[in-house]
Order: sequence, then C-alpha cells, then structure tokens
Amino acid sequence: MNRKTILSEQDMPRAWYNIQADLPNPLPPPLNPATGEPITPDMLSPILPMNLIEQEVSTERWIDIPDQVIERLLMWRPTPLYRAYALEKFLGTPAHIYFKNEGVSPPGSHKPNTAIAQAYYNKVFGTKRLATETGAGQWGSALAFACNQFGLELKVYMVRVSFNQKPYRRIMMETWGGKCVPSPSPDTNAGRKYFEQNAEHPGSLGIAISEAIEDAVTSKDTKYSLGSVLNHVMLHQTIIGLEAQKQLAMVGEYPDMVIGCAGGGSNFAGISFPFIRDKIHGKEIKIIASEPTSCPTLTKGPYVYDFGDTAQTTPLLPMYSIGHDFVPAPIHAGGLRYHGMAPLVSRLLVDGLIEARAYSQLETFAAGLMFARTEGFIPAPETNHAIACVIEEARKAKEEGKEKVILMNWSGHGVIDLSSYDAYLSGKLEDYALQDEEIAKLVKDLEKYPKPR
Amino acid sequence: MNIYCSQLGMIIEFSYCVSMNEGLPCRNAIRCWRDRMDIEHYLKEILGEEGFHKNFSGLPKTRLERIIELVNNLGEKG
Repeated sequence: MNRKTILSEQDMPRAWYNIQADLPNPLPPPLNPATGEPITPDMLSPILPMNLIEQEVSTERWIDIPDQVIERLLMWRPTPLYRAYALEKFLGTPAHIYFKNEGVSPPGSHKPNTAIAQAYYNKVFGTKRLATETGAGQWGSALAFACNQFGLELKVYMVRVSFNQKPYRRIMMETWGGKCVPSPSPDTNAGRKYFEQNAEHPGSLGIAISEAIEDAVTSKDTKYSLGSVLNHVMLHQTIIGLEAQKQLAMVGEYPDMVIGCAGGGSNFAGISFPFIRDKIHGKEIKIIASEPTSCPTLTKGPYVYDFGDTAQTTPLLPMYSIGHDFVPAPIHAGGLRYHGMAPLVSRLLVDGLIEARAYSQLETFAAGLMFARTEGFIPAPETNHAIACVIEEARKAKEEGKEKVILMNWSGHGVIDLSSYDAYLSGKLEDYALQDEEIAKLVKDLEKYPKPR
Repeated sequence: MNIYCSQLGMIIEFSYCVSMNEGLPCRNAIRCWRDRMDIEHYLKEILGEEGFHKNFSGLPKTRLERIIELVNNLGEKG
C-alpha cells in the first residue's frame, strides 16, 4: 500500500501541453474594447515580453520547457501524488481518491509553476523589473520567489484590506526580496486619486490591477505579470496533469474523473488539460470544475442587468446573461464573457468537455476540515471547493457501490489562511438567510463608508 | 456579517462588498449575497433605481479587455 507515488526527477515532463492545438472549436480572439477589433500581439507588447506573447497565441501542441526553468522547478517538482486512504476509510467509499500535492512548493501553492516560467522568459527578454497585483497574496508571493530566482526586481500592489489582514504573505514577499505596497498607493496616478481621498481606502482588485499596469507601462525595463486567466499561464500549469498521468500509470490506474477548483482557472487547467486531451481523443472521463456558490462564474455566469434584445429597445432586465443554470453562454463578438475566468476554461465548458459545480462556503470549509482531520494537510480555502466535490463523488460511488478513481488537484496549503478557518470554527461564517435586524445592523455598519455618488 | 470572497481569497465584511468600487458595490455583490438577503432591494434603496442599473448593467469586461483598455489609456511608454 503506497501512500505516495513519487516520480523521479529524470521523469519530470520536459514539455508543456498546449490545449489550443486540440480544441474542437478554436478560441475566438478577444476584442479591443476601444475599437471592437481583435486584440493583436503588438497590443500586449507594452506589458508582456514578446516570448510570452508568442506562447499566448501559439497553437503548437508541445512547448519545450527551457533547462533553466526545469532547474528551478526541480526545487519541489515532481510533486507527490497521494492516495487519500484515510479520507476513503472515513467516508467508507470504494472510490480510490488521489490528490496531487501542489502545496509542497516554496510559496505553498501551484502558482510558482507559471511564476518561474514567466520570470525566466522576462529575464532572457531583457526585463529588469516586474509589476503585478495580488489579492490575498498567493500570486504575489509566488512571483517574489520566482523573481528572486532570476535576479529580477518586483513590485507587488496588494489590495489594502488584504495587506492589513494578511501580514504573512507580505512578509513572504519581502523575505524573497519583493517590494509589496498596499493598494491604493500614492505611487501611481491610478492609486493616488483614491489614496489622497482616504489613506486607509480598503482598495480593490480593480485598483490594484490599474496600478500594476500603469507601473509596467510607465517604468523603465518593466513588464507586467499575471498569475491566472491568460493562455500561457494555463500552459505552464499543465506540468501538474502531465506528471499525474505518469504517476497514475505507475500504479496502474486511470481516473474516472478529474476535479479541480476554478477561480481564475489556472490550477484547474493544470490538472485537467492533459486529461481533456485524452477525452477529445475518445477516453471516457469526467472533468469537473468546482467553484463557490457565492461567485458562480461557470455554473451561473455573470449576473448582470442586460438589455433583453440586441437593439436595446427593451427595458433593462435582471437576468443571468448566459441563461439560467447550465445553458451555454452566447458567444459575443468579443469572445466568452465569463468575468475573471480563463477563456480557455470557458470554451471547454461551452464545448461540453468539462462540467461545473458550485458549493457553499460552509460546505467547503466542512470539507477542508474533514480532509485536515483525515489526511493531515490543511488545505487552502479555494482548494476546499475541490475537496467538497471529491467528497460528493466519493459518497456517490459508495451509494452505487462503484470503485471509481478520482483525481484531484490539491492546489495549495492553508497554513497562511488560518484566519479563514478561525472564522469558520468560531461560527462567524454562515450561509443562512439574514433576518431584518441583522440587515439593519449591516446598514448601520455602512455609515462609516463614503456614500455613492 | 462576513463572507468568503473568492476574488480576494479571504473573509470580508458585507460593508466592503457594497462600497469597494468607489463607494459603489462590487459587481459580484448580488450573486454573493442574494441567497442570504434581498440584496437587490437593499441596493436599490441605497443607490436608487438609476444608480442600481448603472452599476449592474451591461456585460462585465474580461480581464484581458480591462488590461488592454488600461494600456490604451496610458499610451505608449516614453
């Protein structure tokens, strides 16, 4: 009974898999919002080095991993594939549950798989300095680690509300030599207008993105780096699934289903794309993206007020713009409009190659606790969405008496996110409907904020 | 009242959700809170019908579209 399956360093994949080569329907090009014309590579050149732009638009199936990237990835890769025997036993399921432990990287998540590659390509391009934004700090810390490896300077604009509440991620960034500032900051035009109104402005991801882009465009030898959504980010993450394929073959198994949590899509892409290739070529396999009910990008699509007709003659109607539940999204001229989700992942959903499920925050933390109390490792809160899905499928396998093989991407550990667990354990996280008096309290709480214009 | 914000990857307060966008609500506020309260009614009260529609109308831009828009606005690097 092997708990871990370890791939040798020599057997680590030497090429990334590019799913764009196998897509049944090519990805429509994104459009420039100013002109309505397709975005061309040269439009990205102020913020990305040309070698990464080439990867962004490449349709080559396999892209060699440079030796210097391999050398750095070997610091923690290949990551172990675990058989979750204790969780299986606890659930009493006949399912075989495997998880790919991406929490063993120095920053503790899958993010450095692309951070290392992006830092390398910037270095060889001649970039001296990178700018980026980060929400809770996972991406910022991964990029700080990667920039340190290749001798690049880094400035991270971290949403202030997170900067204040999550000091450990900031300290990680600074330990690796990155500079982390709370956003809005006084350092950019985009940040200054908010900072000068209120030096304690809580910030938002949108403001932090604006600051990082401005920094990259206006500073010498500086480029921008993004840890999700873009095609080349998905590409770099495929090493996860490629390793898992080899490891499962070592134990004579092939998954009935592959499960990953989907935020910006990169960890889901990493575990699933190589298996989706198998599916496109005839394998029977279920691929599930798991996401929060509170932000059901894939299961519900953006809830927006939209015109009921293209001529915009009807009143504004509240609706899910992609239709209810699992109705595929209409493909607009600008491509798929899943806010914050990688276009490649969205495309796969529309093509029926993947499915999506949503779980409430209480379900996901309960799942994370069950995992920590059986398998030992404390998962990152986003990883808990994948675990909730695995548990659901393992229970279904028990009901059906079927020995299903389930593969999950365990995308990161939650040791730096313990405040979220604390909120859950102390009953501060709830899914139930709010009563009027509670809403009144929330409204009162709002008085400290500036009124909308 | 708190909620786990999947965009920021942390626990945040309701007050942040409804004021983080230059005093206006997050685009996700309706989806995040609608199972727990009549968030649309509440937002219409504080924003007014027009303000509500202005905030939530239209399709959101994709991340890449937002980035290109920012780059266009900033112009070429000197």
